[in-house]
Amino acid sequence: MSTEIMTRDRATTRWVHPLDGATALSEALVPGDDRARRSPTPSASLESRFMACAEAWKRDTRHMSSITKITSHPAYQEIIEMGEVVIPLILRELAKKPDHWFLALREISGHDPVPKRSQGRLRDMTESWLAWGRKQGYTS
Amino acid sequence: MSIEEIFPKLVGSDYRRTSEPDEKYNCIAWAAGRDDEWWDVGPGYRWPDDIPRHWAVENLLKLYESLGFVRCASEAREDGFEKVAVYGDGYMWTHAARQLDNGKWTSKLGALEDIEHESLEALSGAEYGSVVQVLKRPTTCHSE
Repeated sequence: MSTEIMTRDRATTRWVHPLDGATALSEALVPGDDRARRSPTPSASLESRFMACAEAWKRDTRHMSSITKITSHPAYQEIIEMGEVVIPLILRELAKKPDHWFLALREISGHDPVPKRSQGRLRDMTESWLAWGRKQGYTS
Repeated sequence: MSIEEIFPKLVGSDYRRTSEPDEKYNCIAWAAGRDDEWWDVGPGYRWPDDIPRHWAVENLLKLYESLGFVRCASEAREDGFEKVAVYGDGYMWTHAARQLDNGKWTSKLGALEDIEHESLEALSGAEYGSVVQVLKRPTTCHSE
C-alpha cells in the first residue's frame, strides 16, 4: 500500500513531488476567470478508467492523513494525467461526497477558487470547487 | 481492508474505536483538539502562514510548537501536561496522536475513525513509520 512520492513532470521530464510546485502554480493562477465553456465529454472507456483509478485511490488512502501521501498515489497521478476532460467526472465525485480532489482540480485547471477562510474545511472547499465548475461550464 | 490489516500491530493490542469515519478532520488537527478541519501543508488546506508548507517532520513540529507544545523525551504521562506524538517515515511526517488523561492515546486514522490505543507502537509500521518526536504542553494552555 505504500505509494511513490515522486512523479515525472510532463513538461520537463524532471521527477518532482506534486506539492513542490505549489508555489509556482499559485503565482500563475488567474483568479476570477469566468469565461463559460462547453464541458468536454469523456468517452465511456475513459470514464471507466477514471472510476477504476478513483476506487483504487480511495481504497488505498483512506487511512492516510498526509495530503502529500494521499495525492502521490499512482492512481491519483494517473487521473491528473488524464487532463481537462475528466474535470466533470471529478466534480461529479466531489458532488457525491467531499474528498481530496482539490489538488487534482488545481493541477489540471490551474485555478484555485478556495478562499482562505475555507481552507481545511472540506465541505466549504467542496462548495467552492463545485461553484467554480458551474461557473466554468463543466457542470450545470 | 480493516484497520487491523492496515496496522497489524493493533491485532491483540488494547485498542477501541471511538468514532465513526469522518472526512472533515485529520490526525494533525485531532491531536491539537480540533474535529472540524483538515490541517495539512497541501494548497487549500489549513496551515499557519509562518510555517513552510512542506511535508518535512520539522515543519509539523513547528506547528505544534506554535500551539504551545515543547519537545520532550518521554511519552510517559505527566500530571499537568498533555502530549502529542508525531510519527514520521524518514524525512516526512505521517501521523500524530494525542495522549488522553488515562495515559492512552487517541488517533484519527486519515478519513477513517478515531481509535483509543494503549501504545504508540500499535500504529507503527509500513504506513505511519514510527514515532519521531513527542511534545508536551501544560493542560491549561489551549490557544490555537
